[in-house]
Amino acid sequence: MMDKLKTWVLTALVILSLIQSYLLAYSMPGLGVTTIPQQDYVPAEPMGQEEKVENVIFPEDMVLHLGKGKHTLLYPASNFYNLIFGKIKSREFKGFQRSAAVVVDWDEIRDRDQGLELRFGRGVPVELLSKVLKLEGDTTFMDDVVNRIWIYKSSDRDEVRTYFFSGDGLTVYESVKADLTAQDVQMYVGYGEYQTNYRRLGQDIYTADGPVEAMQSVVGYDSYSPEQMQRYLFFDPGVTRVISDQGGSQIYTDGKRGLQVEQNGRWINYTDPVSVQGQDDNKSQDVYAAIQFINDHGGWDGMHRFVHEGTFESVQVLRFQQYYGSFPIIPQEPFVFGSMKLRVQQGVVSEYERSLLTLQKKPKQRNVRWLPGGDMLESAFENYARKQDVTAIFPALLSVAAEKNVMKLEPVWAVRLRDGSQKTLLQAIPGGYKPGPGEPGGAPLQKANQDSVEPDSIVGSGGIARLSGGPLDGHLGG
Amino acid sequence: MDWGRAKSVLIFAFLLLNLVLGYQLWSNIREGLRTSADVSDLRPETQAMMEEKKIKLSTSIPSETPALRDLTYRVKTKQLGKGVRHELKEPVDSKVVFETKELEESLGGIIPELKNYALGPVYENEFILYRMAEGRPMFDVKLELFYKNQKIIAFKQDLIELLPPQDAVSQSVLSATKVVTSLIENQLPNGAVIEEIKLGYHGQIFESDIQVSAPTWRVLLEDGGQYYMNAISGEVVTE
Repeated sequence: MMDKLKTWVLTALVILSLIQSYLLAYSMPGLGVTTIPQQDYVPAEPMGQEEKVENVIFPEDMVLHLGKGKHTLLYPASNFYNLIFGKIKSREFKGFQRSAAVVVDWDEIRDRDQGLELRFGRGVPVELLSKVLKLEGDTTFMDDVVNRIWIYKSSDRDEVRTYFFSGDGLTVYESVKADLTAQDVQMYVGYGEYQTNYRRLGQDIYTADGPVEAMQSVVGYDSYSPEQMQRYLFFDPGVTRVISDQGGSQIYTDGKRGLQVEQNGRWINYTDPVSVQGQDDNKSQDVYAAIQFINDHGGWDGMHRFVHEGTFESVQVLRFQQYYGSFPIIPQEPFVFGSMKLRVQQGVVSEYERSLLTLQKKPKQRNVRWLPGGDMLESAFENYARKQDVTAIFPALLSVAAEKNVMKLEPVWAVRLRDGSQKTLLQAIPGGYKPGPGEPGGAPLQKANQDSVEPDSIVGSGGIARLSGGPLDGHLGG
Repeated sequence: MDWGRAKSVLIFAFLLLNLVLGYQLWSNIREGLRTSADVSDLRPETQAMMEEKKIKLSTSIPSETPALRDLTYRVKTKQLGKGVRHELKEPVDSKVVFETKELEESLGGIIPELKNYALGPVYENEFILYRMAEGRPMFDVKLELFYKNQKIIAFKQDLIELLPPQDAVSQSVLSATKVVTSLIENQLPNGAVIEEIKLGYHGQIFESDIQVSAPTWRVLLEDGGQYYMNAISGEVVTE
């Protein structure tokens, strides 16, 4: 009797313990994963090419000062540019000494001493520059932003001076232990002898004296679909909703992130608000984060140059300017193309704007076009409505939407304004015609300036390079 | 072998096991029933971090984890937060906002859809009421009542229309304890005082008639700082 009762009790207890174990295991509140992805993880095939920080930092252009008031400019990816930049990359710059920029009379050095300027547009953080050049400096220098490197051979003494210009415009750092020799500088400058001369208008603006050769290309493009982009950018693509905005473009959102697809599916603007902690920001870290973000989300289409657009309330605005050949691509409104823009905060990307188009490697068609130089370019600049706001004049390619899946890249002279926008200044001469000396857009006639022409400035190669800039600088500079 | 004795031992052992399991189960159920927790329910590490960063909690931590889904809605007024300020012809006693019934009686005829809004924070010159959706506030959709000398004198309202859920699936949200733990460990500045923790809806606002809001925990600090944590994915934003 007792034995039977025990058996029952034991059975009941065993069953009860099993039930309790089950309840504990499967109905524990507050434990376990609450997030169930609505869509299974799909390992996405990589889009576009990856890029490293070393490859997106290079000077916007190089100014070669040939002495005696002569200057010329070299643009990225041209032979001499690559040659000089490659050599400078192999040199070491050490022993930086800080001083005020006004100590040296730069205008005098510009016209008198042979040398070269590497211009970085709006500036590059030195820490990033040190990935490209061999720099060794103290922390004040490493934390600064540099917008120009000027290497010149002092004419009174036969020595080479190297200055790094801080972005604030007030400070310069001289590298007193740079292993560059006077022969190096002479060699670099020598490359400029047979290039188009440039005249200097104002502080930092140079215009070509003769026509500049450029290529007009008709290029086909491929396009990512917005869905592809969405798959890369969203945490859980399965829970995103599609809404359309007042302008008719589509917006993908999961309540936090937003992906606006504009321009008929050719341009995206991705926004992902982040939490602001108000701590100090590390500029270089943000650039690394931005490059990695692009590597992971769409990749790179050809050569890009890093541009620091500015800092607004601890948000870094970074832009990567796309190049085609030697020239940057600028958009022709309303067709937006040519750069990627990111807002980064404490290493987190909060905004990402880019094109969904990728250019095909081989152009469908290529034609030579000559960009007018000489007085034609100068007067275009002098008569430009917002002349006071212009910070640079440069050759660029205007992207124009042509037929379906094809765009035309037209060479133009472009200006950059103080607010960072890039506008067309002057079109190329139509039909591949190259203006001769004295013609509109061509180099000035030699006779007119006979007395100022130095023997070594006359170059026989078809009137590309004529005239010394000396006397012109006198009344046009400033 | 003495089967009787063996059974006794087994009964005793299983009794103990059942007691232990029972206690576990009971404490779990109790936790599930309780509507709020406080500092002592956080992990010891988090408490130590709070001490170190001098973070204080001046409210209780809600312990509900309901299953919610995101909302899609159409904005009927111009743009969220940018509505027109309407002056009241006859100012109303400001204390009515605290009583839903009185508020409805006094302003129900003037402010459309008033019953859909419920009182949120009270500032120096205005009361903020949030549009409620399934009993929870939508932090982006507000009705502002401006008051002066204890009289409500004007209002500004975002009017919306909730759209039927498309294929939205409800998911149970992260617990507030987790939200607070994560904020304390990663986000909050030293000396922060957490004033309110509330579950509602929040989303990025686009230039569009249709907007999407996701279930979100909002944590308000005493100094006015606010953190929105997506209650499904756990991501934090401050705007």
